Amino acid sequence: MRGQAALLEASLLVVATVLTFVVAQHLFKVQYVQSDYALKINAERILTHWADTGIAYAVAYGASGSGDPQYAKAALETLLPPNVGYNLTVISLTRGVIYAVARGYDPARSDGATLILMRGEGRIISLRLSR
Amino acid sequence: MRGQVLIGVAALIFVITLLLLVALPKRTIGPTVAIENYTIAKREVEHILRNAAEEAAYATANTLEAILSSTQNLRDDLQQLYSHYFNVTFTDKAGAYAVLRGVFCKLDTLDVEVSSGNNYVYISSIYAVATCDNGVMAFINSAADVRVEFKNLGAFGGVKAAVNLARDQRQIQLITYAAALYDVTEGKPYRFPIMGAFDPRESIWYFNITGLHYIQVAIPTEYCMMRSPTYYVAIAAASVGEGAATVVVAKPGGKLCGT
Repeated sequence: MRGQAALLEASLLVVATVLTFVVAQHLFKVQYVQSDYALKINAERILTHWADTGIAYAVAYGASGSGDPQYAKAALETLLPPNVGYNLTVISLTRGVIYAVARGYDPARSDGATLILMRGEGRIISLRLSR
Repeated sequence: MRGQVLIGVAALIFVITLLLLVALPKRTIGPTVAIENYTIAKREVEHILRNAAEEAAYATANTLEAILSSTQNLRDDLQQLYSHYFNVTFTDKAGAYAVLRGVFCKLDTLDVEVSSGNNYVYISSIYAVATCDNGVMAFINSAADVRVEFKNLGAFGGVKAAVNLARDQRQIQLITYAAALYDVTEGKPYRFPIMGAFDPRESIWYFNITGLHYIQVAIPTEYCMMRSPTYYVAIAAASVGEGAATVVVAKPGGKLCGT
């Protein structure tokens, strides 16, 4: 009888511990889903690639100094599959938003990154992606 | 009794964990973006250096009056003027960047070299290192090779500069440039614009797949007729976001037009 009670107690202890971990995992998972790291990493990698190849300057400044939305759209859509939405906003540090282009963008399920360029009066390129 | 204590302890652990999870600030586990964050931060600082290098070239060419009124040592003066503008431009940009990102960067090293040819001097190498308080370190290393020829084109004079800009040993294909003429009479320089303006927004864009750019400038008759020229030709050339730039100051040795 004492042996059975000990076994039951040990089982309950194991159940309580497992439950604790399950709940903890669940709560952390909520956090994990709220910030979509895959999208953030992709946005950062796209911006890094643009900075390395000079595309960032064409997107943010263009030949006219006011950016090139058509070029930005083409550059993004060659990289992103159709099921990934995007919102690209180019902001001048003195003139505010210069332009924004978007496709199938859902802010509730998005994440992204920004790149700051300091040529002339400076630009912020904000790229957000969504599933 | 022993079992009840154990169950009590387990229940207590469970409840405390729940309370902590609810009450403590949320933390995130899973993949971090440390590498990407660092890469973006590094690129941003690198581009501040690159932009400073390019804009300093235009600022230098725009204010050559400061050194042309007395040209005992044009090489050193050009080097100092460019270094001064690089510092000013970088500090200005780093300040704006600090406001935006909360990261403070400073220029650690700046090494500018000036070379010369027959009747001309030019900035031939720029090396700069910046460090920031978030641990980012970035640098630029660019070079310029310039050859200047003076030509008599009959009705007017010609200056042909073969400019080759490179970043990290790689030739730059797209450049912007502008040129002006500074006439120094009685120690006072007067600027006469020739092509574009010494401002990255109003300069001339020039793409050449070979990386060798011929910048050809016409000298107006009233200047090219001078037998003992009192004028200098200034050319600023810079890449677009690559960190390569040069300022060329050339002085013809004689009459450049007519017979």
